[in-house]
Amino acid sequence: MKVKLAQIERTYLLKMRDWRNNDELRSRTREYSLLNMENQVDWFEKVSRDRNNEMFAIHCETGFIGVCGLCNIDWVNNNAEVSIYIGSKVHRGKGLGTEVLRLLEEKAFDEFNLHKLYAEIYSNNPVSEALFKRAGYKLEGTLKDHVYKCGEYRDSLMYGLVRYD
Amino acid sequence: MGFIKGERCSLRPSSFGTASKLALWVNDNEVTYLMVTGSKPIAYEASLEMLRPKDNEVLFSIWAEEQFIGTTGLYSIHPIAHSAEFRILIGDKDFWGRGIATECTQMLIEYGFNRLNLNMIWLGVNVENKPAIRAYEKSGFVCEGRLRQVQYRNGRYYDVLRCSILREEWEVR
Repeated sequence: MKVKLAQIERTYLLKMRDWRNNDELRSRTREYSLLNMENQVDWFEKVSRDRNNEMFAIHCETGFIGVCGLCNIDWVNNNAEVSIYIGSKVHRGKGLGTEVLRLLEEKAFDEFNLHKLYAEIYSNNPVSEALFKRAGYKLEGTLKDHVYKCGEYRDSLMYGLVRYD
Repeated sequence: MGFIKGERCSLRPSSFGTASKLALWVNDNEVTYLMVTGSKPIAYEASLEMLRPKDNEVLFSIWAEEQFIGTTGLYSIHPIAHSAEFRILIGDKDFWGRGIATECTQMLIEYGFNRLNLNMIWLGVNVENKPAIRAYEKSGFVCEGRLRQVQYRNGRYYDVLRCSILREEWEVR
């Protein structure tokens, strides 16, 4: 299946709010409080003006299925954090994440001239960990009991990819 | 005192306290004779704006012997290309011909490559501004082109030299 990265439109926000409020997704991301439309609109307006966070809508034939982006871009040190989620359940487990990550790397290295990408993955998210490992990211460090998710402390695994490695 | 210290001068943050002196200089035809700045009168309020760094700028005031003598900075910093434009103005005529511009140019190059992680720094200079061209060449800038009749001052057209220095050249200096 083919995916494309596109701009995020205001009309996508309702769908995004519901995805981000989903328990399963929240257990693996930084989200902990429930979001209302106002939170979602605030986020959208902030990100739309922010040159240090480049967010994209993930599209496939059936339409808008998730969100990804290069976050906290540091233009002096030339690095950025990768963020991906496939909100639409039926589109998970089909290798789309790998494809999205490849497109984000293309943006980061060929368009934004960045030097390094990194991701923080919680230890209760082996699917994401496998995805980043397959894509060549190296485990750079483990932050012990760094987050509290689903009733337990979890480790934060820091994965990184340097452009010329 | 200074954010960056040299032997002849030091660089401090750009500050509004220096605006009245700057306003005198940018309206002095002897100072701006070969510059783009100076074709039109510049009010004190406008000189304040010149001292306020925009998002893609880093501005310094130049100090020597405890006096404010000029301004310099990196402008149009491009976050993807990692390039920036270098500009300098020594307004106090007592300090002309004393190697201040050369030292500032070297300090700004060092700052741009070392601290801002730039890849290329460029500048434009009037072809007849020989002392400036000498200072830039001494600091490692290479002339890469001549913009013909691009500047109009003093009743005539001037050519402008476009110069640049690359990180790879600076690293093997």
